[in-house]
Amino acid sequence: MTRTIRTERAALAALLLLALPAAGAELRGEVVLEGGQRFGRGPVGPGTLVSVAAYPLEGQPLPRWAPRRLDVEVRERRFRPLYRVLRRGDSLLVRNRDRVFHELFSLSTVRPFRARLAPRGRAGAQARLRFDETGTWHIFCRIHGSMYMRVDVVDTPYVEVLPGGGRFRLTGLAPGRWRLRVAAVGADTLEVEADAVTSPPPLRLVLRVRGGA
Amino acid sequence: MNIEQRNTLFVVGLVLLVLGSAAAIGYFLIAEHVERQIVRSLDLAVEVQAETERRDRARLAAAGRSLAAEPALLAAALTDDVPTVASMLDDLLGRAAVDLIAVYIESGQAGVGRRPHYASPQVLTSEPLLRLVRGLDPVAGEAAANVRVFNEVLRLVAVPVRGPAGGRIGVVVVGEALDERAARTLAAITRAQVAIFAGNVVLGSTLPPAELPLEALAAGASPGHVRFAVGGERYRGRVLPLVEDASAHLLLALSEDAQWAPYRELALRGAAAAFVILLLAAGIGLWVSRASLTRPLRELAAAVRAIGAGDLDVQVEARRADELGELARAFNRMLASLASSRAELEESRQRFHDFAAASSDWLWETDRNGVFTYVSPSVSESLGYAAADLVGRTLEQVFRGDDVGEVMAVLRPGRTAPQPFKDLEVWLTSADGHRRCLRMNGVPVRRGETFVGYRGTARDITKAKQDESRLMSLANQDPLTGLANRKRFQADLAHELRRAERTGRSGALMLLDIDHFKLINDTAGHAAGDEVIVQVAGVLRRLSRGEDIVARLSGDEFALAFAGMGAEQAMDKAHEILERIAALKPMFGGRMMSISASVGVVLFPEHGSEPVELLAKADTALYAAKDAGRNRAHLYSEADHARELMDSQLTWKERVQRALEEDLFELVYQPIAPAAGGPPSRFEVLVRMRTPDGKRYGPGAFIPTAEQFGLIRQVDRVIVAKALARLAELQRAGLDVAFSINLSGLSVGDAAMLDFIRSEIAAAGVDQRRIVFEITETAACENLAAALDFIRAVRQLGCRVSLDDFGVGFSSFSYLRNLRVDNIKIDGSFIREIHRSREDQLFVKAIVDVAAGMQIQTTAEYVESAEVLAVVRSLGVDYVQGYYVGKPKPSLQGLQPRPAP
Repeated sequence: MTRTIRTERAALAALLLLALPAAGAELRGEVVLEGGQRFGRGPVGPGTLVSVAAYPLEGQPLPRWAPRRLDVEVRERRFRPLYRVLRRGDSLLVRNRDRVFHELFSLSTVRPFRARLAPRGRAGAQARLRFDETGTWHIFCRIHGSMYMRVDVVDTPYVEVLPGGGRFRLTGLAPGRWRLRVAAVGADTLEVEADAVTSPPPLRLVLRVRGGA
Repeated sequence: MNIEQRNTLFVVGLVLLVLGSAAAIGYFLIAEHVERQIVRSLDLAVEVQAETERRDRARLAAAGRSLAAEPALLAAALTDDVPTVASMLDDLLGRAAVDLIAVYIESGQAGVGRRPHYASPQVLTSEPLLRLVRGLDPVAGEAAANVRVFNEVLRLVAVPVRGPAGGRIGVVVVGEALDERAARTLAAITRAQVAIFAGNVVLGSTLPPAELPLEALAAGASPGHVRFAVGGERYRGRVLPLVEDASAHLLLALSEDAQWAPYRELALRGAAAAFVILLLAAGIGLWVSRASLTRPLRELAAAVRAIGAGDLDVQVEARRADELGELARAFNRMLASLASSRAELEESRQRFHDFAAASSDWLWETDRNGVFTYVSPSVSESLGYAAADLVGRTLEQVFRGDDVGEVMAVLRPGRTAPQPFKDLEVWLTSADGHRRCLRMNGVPVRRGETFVGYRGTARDITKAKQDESRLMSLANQDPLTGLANRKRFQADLAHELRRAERTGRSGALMLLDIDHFKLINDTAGHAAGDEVIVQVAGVLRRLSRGEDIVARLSGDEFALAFAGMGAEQAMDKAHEILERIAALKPMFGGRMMSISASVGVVLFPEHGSEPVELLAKADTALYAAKDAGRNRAHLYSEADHARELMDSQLTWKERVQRALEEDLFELVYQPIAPAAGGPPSRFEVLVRMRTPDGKRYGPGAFIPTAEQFGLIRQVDRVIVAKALARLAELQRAGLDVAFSINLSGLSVGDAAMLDFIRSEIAAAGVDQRRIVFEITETAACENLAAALDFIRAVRQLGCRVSLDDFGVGFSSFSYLRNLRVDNIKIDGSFIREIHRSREDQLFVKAIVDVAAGMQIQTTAEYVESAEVLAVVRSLGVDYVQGYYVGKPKPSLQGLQPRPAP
């Protein structure tokens, strides 16, 4: 769900930015993880990976990015790490470190896939997955119900992964209005709009996480 | 132990008994209940266990089916890779909450358990598991069993795993260990102690495993019921086989002690309550006992002690309404009665003391040995000894010289039964040396059955004895000569006759009469006559032996009885007497007198054996001697005198009979007047018999014959009937008169005569107080017992009794004591010459004194002159009778009308 937050303070900052010449604008702030309302607002585990990505809203140009390959291991019937944020065109190399088979499958609105990982040391013990569309993939093992990981594919180079939340700073942005997308495993994706300026005032983004991480 | 304690103990005992009984009954009921409860609980535990087993298996089956339907399992199975399957099962294991999941797939078995033990190939390939898998029905489905794998027991369910096409591609076996946890779970559900054991290995137990008697429990598996003890606690249990081959067992046990525990608690509380109840019961028992029994009893005891101390004024509180109250009231009544008795006793004691002190008799008491224990003070008056001199001693000890053997024999009866005694006479020497005669009466004293002595009275009768002695001698002795008188002679003669009859010895009786004695009296005076009498008596006394009897029968008539004498000797003796008398030649007035005598001799038993008869015959012989010229002896001849005898007796008998038949008896009345003077108050009824020739005879003529021929009773009746009829007439005429009627001795002993008198009195309607029956002393004394009865009966009728001819009988005075008569008529022989005879006066005086002392009136008969009357009046005689007072006449003279009442 995308929400637009317009605050008086933000408006004031925007006025200040407009008044200044356009130079290396940035978005900075802090993501605070907050436990769910229904089952308690406890602290969220420090290992929870939170991604913050910025999308231009006023047609600001984005720099080009080269495809990357990221690794994921399956060890002791767990994905490690269990959250990856890719830029469109990136690929994910999944390696099976267990001595048993894993039968992976994904739930995704974009393009689901499935892959069998043979036991370690045998042929087919790893699989390379390329993600050319943006979207979110939830990946499971059909054999081992406890295995799960999430892959978010974004269409911007301005993305940062924060372990356990915390401060972020997206720099080199074209001044103007941007949409910030904040996501994490088990959390509602938060989208806020903000103006990228030079030395902007830090944002405070609260992300609600369900079931911890 | 006193009543209070006993009662308390009793109450406590009773309560104890009740409590004990209740406890025993309670114990048996509870024991039965506990037993049933344990058995029921164990049954229930077994049922619950069976149900739990079914549910556990169903749960396992559900888990197995869930696992079999798990896509992951399918996916894993499809890899056909055992480790993959195993890794999948590791994931599932936690979810399924089972201890073992094993999957057998077509390619081979695959088993996984997080516990390495189960995961071992030995488990998966163990025979029980493989048998379960192989035994799985291909179509329907599922199998369950408890199996022992090594030292573990597992509950297993096998469920088929089907492929997408529906075909069976494997088998999932899920299981859970029957271990400590299972035991605890089962224990929680069944509420019993649970032990699971295989052989000697305990797999799980809620009881201390080390203490379980496993062998015994395994042995008890067959009956299923076991009893054992663990840690000192007793258990009952069921042992159930857990696996098919019974190599493992399940024990369900219940603690008997735990079942008993609440009851023990109850018992403790019960015991505490019982203790309190016991204390209460003891307290209440004590209180009730004290309030209702012992306190009143103590009061009674205190009262009794007070009484024992002599206080009769105590009273016991008697407010209670119960038995003790009644007892107290009765006690108080008894006290009042006791006090009254004591007062009476004191009065009685004082009365006794006064009597004892005032009486001339003295009272005495002895112990069983005749030792005096009490003597009243008046003893000193007669014996001169103080009472204290006698107490503590016997008669023997006090009167050493006296013959007290008879008294002591009575007082000291020894082994013979002590008897009352009466009129026991004993002569004792008094302190001043005089002989005193005591008459003692006594009764034995007994305490219960034991004789303890005698008590009685003693009277000094010395004076009476002396009087009696003198009277006796006067009565039996001729005062002039000292010879026996007629009475004495008759008695002695009778005695001698009986002895002669007994011994066969003959004897002789002589009657001697001085010739012309009247002439001596008339010419020389009475003194000369007396002198002659005395001298003749001296001759007779000298010529008789000691055993012979010599008596003076009347003025100049003597009698002698010689024992052992035949006719010849008798006549010799008679002649010797006559010679001696002729030789006397007394001198009177200067003149020598010549005297002679005549003697009649009879022999006994030749001429008779009765004194009267012999005397009569001797008299006949005497008169024969006199007829023959006097101064001679004549031996009685039977032939000579038969006619006279027959004439006199038979004639008189016929006359009497005729008189009875023809009513020829007539009564005449001789007045009896007070000696002091005044009109006659009483008349003696005398009888006269008429004969057809008109003669009249006095009683002396016909009475002896009437007596001899048994006609006297009829004569008496005629007299009584006539006298009463006459008395009734006089009474109706209003005359104040009483009759003295003579009764013969034969009538006195006749009961029919009494009845006759009774009916005649009633028929005539006379006042019986006006009738006096006269009986002769001789008649009374011949049959004393009959006379006593008669006298008593007559007196009871209201009549009075007079003793006639008193003084001539034998021992008159001694009989007088026994005969309760109202009057004695002194024999005329003592009266006729009383104005001249000092002896007669003495004798009459003695009779009058004795009679006065016994409240008996006296009458003197033969009062024929004023001199005699004066003498008898001076001697104190009450009434007089005789020609001087009035002759017997058919009419009554000098009668006074009865004074108006």
